[in-house]
Amino acid sequence: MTLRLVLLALVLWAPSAFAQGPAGDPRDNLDHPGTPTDRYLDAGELRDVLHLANDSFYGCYRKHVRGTKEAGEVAVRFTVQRDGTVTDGVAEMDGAPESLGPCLVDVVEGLTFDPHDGDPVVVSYPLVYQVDRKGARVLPYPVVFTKPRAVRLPLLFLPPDISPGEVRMLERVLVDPEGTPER
Amino acid sequence: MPRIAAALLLLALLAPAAPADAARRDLTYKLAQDKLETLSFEVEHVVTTTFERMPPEAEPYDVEGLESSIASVKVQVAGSLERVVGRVFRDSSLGLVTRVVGLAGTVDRGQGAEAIAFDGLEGKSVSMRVLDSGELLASSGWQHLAGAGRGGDLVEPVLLQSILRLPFTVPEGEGLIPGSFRVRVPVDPLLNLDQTWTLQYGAGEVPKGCRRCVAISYSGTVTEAAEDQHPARPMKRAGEATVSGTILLSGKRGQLLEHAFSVAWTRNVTSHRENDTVRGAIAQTQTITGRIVAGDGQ
Repeated sequence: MTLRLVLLALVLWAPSAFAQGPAGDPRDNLDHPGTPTDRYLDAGELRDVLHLANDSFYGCYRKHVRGTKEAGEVAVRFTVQRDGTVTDGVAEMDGAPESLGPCLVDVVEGLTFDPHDGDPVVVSYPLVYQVDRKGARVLPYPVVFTKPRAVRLPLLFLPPDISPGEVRMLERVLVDPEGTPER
Repeated sequence: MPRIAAALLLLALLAPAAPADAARRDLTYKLAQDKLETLSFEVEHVVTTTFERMPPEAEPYDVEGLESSIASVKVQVAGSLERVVGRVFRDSSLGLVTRVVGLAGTVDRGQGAEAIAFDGLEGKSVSMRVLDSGELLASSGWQHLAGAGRGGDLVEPVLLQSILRLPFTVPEGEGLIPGSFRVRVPVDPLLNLDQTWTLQYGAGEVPKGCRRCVAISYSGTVTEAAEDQHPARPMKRAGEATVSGTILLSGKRGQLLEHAFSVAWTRNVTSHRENDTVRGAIAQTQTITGRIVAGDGQ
């Protein structure tokens, strides 16, 4: 009888003991990409939307780079505003036909990202056009480049109207190894 | 019979503790899970800054002029918190998104109060994973508010106080209920602000006409230790504060109606060289007086 009860207890206890705990799954993190509690754009969320636009990017290449194996190095740069719309699209062309640029810009400016609470995000995304035995295609690039805002002197309370010059002076004095004045 | 008793004891030991704790707790926040909750706030910061030790690198600069311009600062901010439960986690904790909106305020650096714009702070949010007791399990988003010129440190206390940890039960009469807890504010992966709160909760005064309301007053101390491991800003901060306040809830499991609070910090901030010797030292005092009210504050 006792053995049965002990076994029953173990059966009841084991799933909770060995299952992944409430915080043991990365999806349970507050800032996990796409979690409804995270109100800031992560690089992963940006990348997912850009990968979905891969066919449109390829459409541009098919129209403007047809018959050419070398399409140069191309990247699109744009800004995601707080409402998720895209502005300031620029195609950085290096050796690619000039007519490709406006087409790529049209694609990125037609994208919509989730609204977010952060500052407008400047994004740079390389486009890799490849032609080989499998045919021509745009490879989904695994990385999206963003420039995070620097957090400056977060341990000091400073007036909210402090000037950038005053902050720079404090940084030079307190933490900058090159803390000598510019002349 | 003893075998059965032993087996039952084993079952009791193996049973998870959290639900039992939850059952004993009779004082919790009621966080609306289906609507946006608005809390208005006003907060005043009075800050003094003294440069206690400046390194030789300071010599070419007008550090005295800078020190005098930030020696005594008074900032008043008013605005609203909009919060919503964005997610219920598997352990029944709640993912709360709290956004600061409608910010307006003044700053006085000894030359008279001047209006300030909060363009970099308006609309920013912090995500907090909390239990309905107010226990803060995790939070994120602070890096979007933090840093010089951003103004995040003006609203950080308001955000934390909007969901301050409650005692287990409602204090009655002259009795005091002790409580101690830690709060971690992860500014970024290289900087955590760690605070230890030690409070005594007592019965507060319920305003006339507030039926079924519960008022809890508290007072105590907070200690803080933070080390910034970012290579561009190697600094440490140690601080102590006295804190007091009163929380008014609509019931034992009630919505926050009002929270008035006061925190008086004494902090020492040091910057460090690569060999960990102190480079510069700054002492700051900061008195924070604030009030959070449900609704639009009327």
